[in-house]
Amino acid sequence: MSGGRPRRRFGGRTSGAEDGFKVEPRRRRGIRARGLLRLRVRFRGHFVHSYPIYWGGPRIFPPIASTREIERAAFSFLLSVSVAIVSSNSSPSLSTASARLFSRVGKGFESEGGSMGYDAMANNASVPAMSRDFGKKKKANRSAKLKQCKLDARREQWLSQVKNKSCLDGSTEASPTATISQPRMSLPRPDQGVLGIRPRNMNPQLEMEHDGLGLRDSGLDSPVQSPTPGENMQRKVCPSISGSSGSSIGSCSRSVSDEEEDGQEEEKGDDKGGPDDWEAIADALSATGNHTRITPDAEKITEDSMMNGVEDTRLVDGATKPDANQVTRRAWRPDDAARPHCLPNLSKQRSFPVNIERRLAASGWDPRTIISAPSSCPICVEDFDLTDSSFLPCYCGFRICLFCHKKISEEGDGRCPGCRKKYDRVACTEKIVIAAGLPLPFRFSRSCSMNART
Amino acid sequence: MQDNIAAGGKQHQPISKGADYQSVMKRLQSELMALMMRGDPGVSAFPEGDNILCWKGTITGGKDTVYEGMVYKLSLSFSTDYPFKPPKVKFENTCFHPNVDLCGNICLDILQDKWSSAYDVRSILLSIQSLLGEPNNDSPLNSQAAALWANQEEFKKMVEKLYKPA
Repeated sequence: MSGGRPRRRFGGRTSGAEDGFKVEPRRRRGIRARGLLRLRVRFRGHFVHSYPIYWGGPRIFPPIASTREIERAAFSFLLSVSVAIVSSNSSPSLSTASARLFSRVGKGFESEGGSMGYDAMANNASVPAMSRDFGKKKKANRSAKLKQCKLDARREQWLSQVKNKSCLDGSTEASPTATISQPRMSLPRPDQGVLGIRPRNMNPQLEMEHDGLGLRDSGLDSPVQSPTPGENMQRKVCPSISGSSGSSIGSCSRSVSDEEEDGQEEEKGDDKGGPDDWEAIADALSATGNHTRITPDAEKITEDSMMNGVEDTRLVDGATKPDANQVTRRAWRPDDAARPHCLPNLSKQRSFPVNIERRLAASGWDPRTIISAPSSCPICVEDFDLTDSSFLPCYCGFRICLFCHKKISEEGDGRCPGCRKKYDRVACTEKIVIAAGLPLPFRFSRSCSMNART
Repeated sequence: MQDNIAAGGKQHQPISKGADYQSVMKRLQSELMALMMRGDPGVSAFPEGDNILCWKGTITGGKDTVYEGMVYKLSLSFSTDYPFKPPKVKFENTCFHPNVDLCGNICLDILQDKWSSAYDVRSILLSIQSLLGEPNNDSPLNSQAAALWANQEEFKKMVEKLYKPA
């Protein structure tokens, strides 16, 4: 990557490996790793600097001013090259990495939502429920617990299907039957199942199965109490979610719930319909769904076979379309308006940019801040972590990290590098307490974020 | 068989020192960056070859001193204890100065007992630069130079006579 163009641009210098700049991606490791990718910059074979890369793109910081000509030329070149490298070379790995991250976080949320949904459903008095449905709910809960892994598999499958659909026809999303009280995207699913999946599946049997699933899913959406807590919760708290996870869970739990009740309930869902526009939906569904309905046992078998088949396509899709994947499987963001309150506050994600900014201030772009910057240790140049930044080893105000303090007091002369006064071992812990009160605004915000995290 | 053992031993050594080396390297990289960004007039330094633990520095003599117009080269060698231990700094070309001996060794307190890990290459070079203009004649390494310091014109002639551009 640091091939011919850099060297030519660099001009004037003799050729040879040690004369150019090299920019290479690097992931930080070790105790202080923050999961950041960094670009390391070599100049004449020496690491000159490393740039932190934020998830999703490079952050390259203030303009560099250098007095000597060669360095000026070198660094201006360096900026352009590193930008080019980041955009052309590193972004695929970045996007897949972030996609992986998102999917992982998303899964965590969904499973948590599922478990928390029990409470949510118990308190959910707003939905009219028939006495018969309570017994069914209990049953369904049990079976949902037992077959959690199967649920996961099915959800994955649905995720992939929804993804395909959203690629193929996003227009159906604005279906006239969609209302605010219901998840919008789950309503047009049966139609989409027919429209969207057809081109992807070679196997006619699979296709038929999708239709069937779509129908069953819609049956679940009817006011008849939905058997799964997970689905219930998703319905209640996140009407604006992409629709994939909630309804997929619904369909899954449906398939694993009691089979002897399937026929009965389906009839109910179709015939009785809902109070509002559910009748219209049921009508639309019965048009597509009636001819695909099959007996529960046969369905069970074919579902299994279908799961394998779709699993494969999902894998292929995941490999070829990481972007679409990322869009549909997005986890809750802390700033989402409809984010459920019961979800844990992931202030870690929110504090990412903060970390970056601190890193920037510390990374030496303004050399005058290298010594005085409170966000990195002036001795070892490592970023301060939470403990370090609340650690004030000396009254003179010269801050160093705990590692360096230990090293200086155990192996070195035990004097503060800033004022040469002897470190006071006994008073150290007290000073930490004192330090906690000193830089008030800074400390306050930090303790807030800590509270939010727990 | 012996080779294997030797190789194993050799491999083990750097691993135990690896963490130290990494932290020294990181610190020196950031110092290099700061040095290049800042571009202090009269001082510069850069690692020599591939080894970031060995730097070559240059100092130009301060204005209005007998060393004005002279460019002195220094070698700085850092240990893996850096910055907890000072680097070894020597003049590469002969410098006629009360606190520099004929081999180029420098008598400067901050390079010995007054070292602080808050110092860096830049502060070392600036200290040496100011030492050129303000020698400490009480503890001379070069007693001839210390004796001659009072006579600045003679001293300047001596400096120019002994100066060899590196």
